[in-house]
Amino acid sequence: MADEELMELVGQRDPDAFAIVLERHADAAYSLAYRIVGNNEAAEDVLQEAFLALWRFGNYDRSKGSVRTWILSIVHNRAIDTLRRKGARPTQAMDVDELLRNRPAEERTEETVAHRERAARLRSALDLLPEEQRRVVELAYFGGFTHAEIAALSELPIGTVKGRMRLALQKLRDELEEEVW
Amino acid sequence: MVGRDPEAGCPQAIEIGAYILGALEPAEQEAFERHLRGCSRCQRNLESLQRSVEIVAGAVERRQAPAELKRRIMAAVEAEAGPRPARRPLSVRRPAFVQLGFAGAFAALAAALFIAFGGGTTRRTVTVRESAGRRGVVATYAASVSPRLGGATVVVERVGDQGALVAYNLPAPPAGKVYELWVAGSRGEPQPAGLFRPAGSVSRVPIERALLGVNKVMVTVEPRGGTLRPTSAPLVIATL
Repeated sequence: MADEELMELVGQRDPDAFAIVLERHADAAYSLAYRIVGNNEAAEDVLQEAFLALWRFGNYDRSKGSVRTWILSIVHNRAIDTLRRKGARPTQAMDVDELLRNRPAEERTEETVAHRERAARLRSALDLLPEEQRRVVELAYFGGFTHAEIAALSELPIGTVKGRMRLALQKLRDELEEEVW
Repeated sequence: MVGRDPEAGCPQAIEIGAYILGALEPAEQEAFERHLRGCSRCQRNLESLQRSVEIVAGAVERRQAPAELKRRIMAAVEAEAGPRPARRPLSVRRPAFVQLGFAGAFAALAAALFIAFGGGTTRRTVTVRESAGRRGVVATYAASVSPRLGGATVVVERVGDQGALVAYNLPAPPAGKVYELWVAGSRGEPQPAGLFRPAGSVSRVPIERALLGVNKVMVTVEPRGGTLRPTSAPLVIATL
């Protein structure tokens, strides 16, 4: 059964449909949460909050993209909230590479070959972006920084940061559309 | 340097990347969403770029979600879904505590104490240690609830500086309105801490602010999208 059909059943409070959605997307969601919050315990909390919110309030709307995109956006929002709640956010100019390197250390886990290959393809697509565009995407998406914070950190005008974000997303879409999807 | 962008077509299109990446300030995000509703160019642009985020999200190292976590989530879902006659024909009672999960069980316990001790402004605090020991001490506070909420029962669970509001039988807010959570300390104005609409008979809503220095959690009814300051009297007040 397609994700979209399952989500209709979830909207009717069908726990079996929810179980399938959870099984299909939990690993991707957990991987994203871990990348943002940096440890197992916080990632588990994020996932639990996100999937229970999806169960309780989740009105999936096809215009929001695929079910996976929608779920990842919920997980992303929760993970960034967690990150921001932890406080201590730099506000002055600093070495943004250092900032990204100082993200919480990742623990090693097993990856399947297929998943590793797919993630590697996507990572290399990110790496193809011009450095200044990749940096603003990573700071915003994985670091939870606002455009104004990134502008301050990078000593750039806000308009430049916003422009780089949009250009980066356009390039990712254009470069990967046929290759990956 | 930001080059000329043939796809833009609208001066507001510069916001789209930051919007998709979640990098706008809350007020900017609301303003852009208002703009989006009336701008078909930006809607199309947004739709075509949203997929890129899945690419960014998928570029992370792959990890397996722990099986125990999935079981915990499903236990909570099954408890909230309630009995399914076709599969559990004899089950007409509330789900057992073991099905509710530990936090839910203590929320129910606190609710029972609240009712038993007369409700109103009575406050009962139940402090327990979770058996799994992973999250530490869970404190549960029963809230005072306005009679306007038709007999709803509300508790606040707290673990360290994190918390959640659990509401039983909360009626839906009026059309075009949502419930908004607020937290307040002994000084200063209440701070917004999340929006929600009840789904089913039990709603568990994470409080989106740290509870350090917070001694009150409140709920008001606000226009859809929420507000930065309460515009109506609280219908629920929990004193921590």
